[in-house]
Amino acid sequence: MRSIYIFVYIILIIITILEVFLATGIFSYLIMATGILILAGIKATLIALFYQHLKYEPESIKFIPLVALILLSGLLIALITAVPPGAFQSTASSP
Amino acid sequence: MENQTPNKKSRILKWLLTTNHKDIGILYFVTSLTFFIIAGILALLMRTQLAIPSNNFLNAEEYNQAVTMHGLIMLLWFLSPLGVAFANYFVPLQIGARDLAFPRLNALSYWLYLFSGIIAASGFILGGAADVGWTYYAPLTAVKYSPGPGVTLGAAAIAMISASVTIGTINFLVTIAKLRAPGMKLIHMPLYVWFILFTMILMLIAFPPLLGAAILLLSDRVLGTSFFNSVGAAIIWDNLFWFFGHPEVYILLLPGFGIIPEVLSVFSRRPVYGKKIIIASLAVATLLSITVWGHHMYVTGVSREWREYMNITTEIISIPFGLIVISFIATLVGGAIRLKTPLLFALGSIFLFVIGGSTGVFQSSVALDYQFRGTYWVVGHFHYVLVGATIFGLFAGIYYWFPKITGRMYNEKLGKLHFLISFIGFNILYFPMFLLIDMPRRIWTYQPNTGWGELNMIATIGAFIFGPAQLLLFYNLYKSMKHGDLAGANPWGGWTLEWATSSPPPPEDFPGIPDLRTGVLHFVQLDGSGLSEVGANHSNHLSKWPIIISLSLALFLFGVSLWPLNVAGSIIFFAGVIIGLYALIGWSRDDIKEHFKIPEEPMREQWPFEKADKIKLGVWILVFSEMLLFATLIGTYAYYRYISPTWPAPGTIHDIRIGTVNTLILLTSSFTLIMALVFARVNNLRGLKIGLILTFGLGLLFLIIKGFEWSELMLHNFTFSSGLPASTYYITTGTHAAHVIAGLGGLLYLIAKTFNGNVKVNTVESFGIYWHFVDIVWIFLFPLFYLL
Repeated sequence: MRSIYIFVYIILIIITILEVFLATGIFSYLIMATGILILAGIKATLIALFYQHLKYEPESIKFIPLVALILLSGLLIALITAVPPGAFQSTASSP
Repeated sequence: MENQTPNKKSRILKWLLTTNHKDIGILYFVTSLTFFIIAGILALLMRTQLAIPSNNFLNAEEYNQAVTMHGLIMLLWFLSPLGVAFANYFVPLQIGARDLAFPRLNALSYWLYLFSGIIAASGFILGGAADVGWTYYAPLTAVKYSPGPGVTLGAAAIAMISASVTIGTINFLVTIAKLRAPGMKLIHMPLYVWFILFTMILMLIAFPPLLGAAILLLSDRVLGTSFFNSVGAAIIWDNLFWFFGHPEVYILLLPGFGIIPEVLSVFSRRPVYGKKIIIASLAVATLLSITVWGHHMYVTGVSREWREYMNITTEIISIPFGLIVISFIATLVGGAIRLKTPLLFALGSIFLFVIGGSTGVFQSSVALDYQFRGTYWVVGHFHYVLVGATIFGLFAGIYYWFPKITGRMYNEKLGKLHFLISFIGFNILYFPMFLLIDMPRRIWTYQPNTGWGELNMIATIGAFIFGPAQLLLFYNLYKSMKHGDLAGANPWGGWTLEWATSSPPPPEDFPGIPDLRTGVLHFVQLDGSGLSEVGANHSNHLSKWPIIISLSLALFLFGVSLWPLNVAGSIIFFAGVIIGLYALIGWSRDDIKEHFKIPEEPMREQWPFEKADKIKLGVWILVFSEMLLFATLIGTYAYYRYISPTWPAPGTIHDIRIGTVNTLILLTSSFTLIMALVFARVNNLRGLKIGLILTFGLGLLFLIIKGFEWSELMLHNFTFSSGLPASTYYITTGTHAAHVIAGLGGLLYLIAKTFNGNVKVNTVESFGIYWHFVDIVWIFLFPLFYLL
């Protein structure tokens, strides 16, 4: 197990460096944002699977964060999609 | 304590320090009924004001305070806690457990609840309670429109009771999962426990967004952030509030509704009809209940697709509840019915729910809702559900379980009279509201030419019948508790496990471990370190730390609420911090010295969580709620970025280098902690100590850098009040930092246990789940605030 933990740690560090590299502006904002968020998701998954041991837990335990993840995603989508696109563009001022 | 001769002082002390689930249940019961009286008096004041047109009994401000606090107290400090009172007392009994999984946390939940209620109500004596309506709609809650302390105190109280509820839900879910009597498979659990199980799941989902919203509102009012006074604030508040608010209807309803099948079955001498259908319906209703909140927002300008979606889900949710009601009624068919008071209240609850539920179906329609929105039709509808169905269901529970709790019978004639007057008074009070379909609900008076006076007068007469009728209940309970006939263990001939023990039950609930594996109940006695010793320990399980921690948090929040207005607030705030630290150290010391130890309960039915110990399961459930809390904060950030025409470019405000360094530090802390676990597993105490100390050091370093970063930003005029980019940054990363601080506290506890030589591998692993979660949150905050 020790070697897996070390390996995961190295991957996490590499991905972090990759995220910062992506943020330097060599790609368009859309590609950069998508790439960085995907990389963040990979990091979170690695930690959940190996450091939180979800990979080795029974289905019943895996089920708990999985349901939370689905609800969390639903809430995020709902918060953003509740208003029609551009609903506040005419009234919003620069923060 | 209980074995000694109790004098008055020790009796009072016992109630303050108890961790026994039955005592806590009684505390919840008495406290919630006290809040019922307070909120009921406020309702009578409101009805008096509305009885006649152009009335000046209350002025607008007083009326608004009364209506706001009536709603908040009834929902959060009476209805739900009365359900929790029964759940505390009877869930462990019905599943054959000796207590909840975490008795001290149970006491903590109660005291947080009590103090939060005091904070909410304290506005009345501190310059005015909250007066913005119980829904706390933005931007009315902004300091600009509501400058007094009432709204802040209310928000602080909501945050505190959310913490209480979260702790409580973890406790109940772990208890139901891990402490069922041998032979009690999930499907064998009484329906009441099933209803509580789904209530707890809903609470776990609904309350974190409310807590998140309360944190944001508090920061607006205390720190000057701008979450709920910016363009688009009304929609984000509505979304967060109703994501909690609509499931809250079911959270309130289910505990009362869960008592009904118990009562119907016992008083008709028939098993509940369609138990599996009821459970499946509950599951579907629970799922649907978190997809319908948008029907409260039809008129707010949300998108057409959104309204259509919420319209459909809201209409569908009536189906599972229809099935549940049909099963209830079918239970009675062909039964040997005994029309006792509990059954009368249960039948009343079903009848009123049918009216309340079917009037709700109308409001799922977007077109009809445009007409009904904000009228007394809506008030009538939700009172038929929340007062009619819920309170009548809970009253059925009071009469049903009174003999078990006190060992004495109540007065049946008074009970029936209470039902009769309540039922008549209730309908006189609320039915006219369906006819006041054109009267706005948020007005403090009205003109004579509106034609609303007659119906309002009838409703007020109903209120003065329904309200005072409750005195019959209190009198009956008080009198019968002392002079009622002895009840015996099973006066109703009930079939669930609480009736298999004495009335009232002993501290350890049963004369042995209830064993159902053969299909016939018998009690197993354990030798040596078994039941007798556990029972003796149990009665001594008193702890002063839950009440002290709750008091400290109350002082902390009270100080926070008063800070902008009063210098005394800062003194109260720091007193709360110091007392809190003292109490946390005391609690930990009790654990480290093993002064408060709950032995593992043997032979328990634990499917599907056999492989996870209680603490690990509890931490995972905590992580579940934390995920939703951070989803609320991050969702608010994403919403504002989505609707704002401009946002600072990456690297213009936040230094990417600082963010990167802090990310690497937290990732490394996760690594050192997992290595500590590796050492713990091979009994390498030195490696474990080094791992934990390194993790602590890295966490501390993270906070120091974060503090440095914040001070630099503040020096450059990027303060709490610098607009939404600053608001979202400070509060989201600040909440994360608070979690890191909590984690450091946990690490200190683990280090102390390690040096004391009694740390367990499972404890390190369970703590790791939390610490790694905090790391995962930062993994997303880093790109959101620094890179994108």
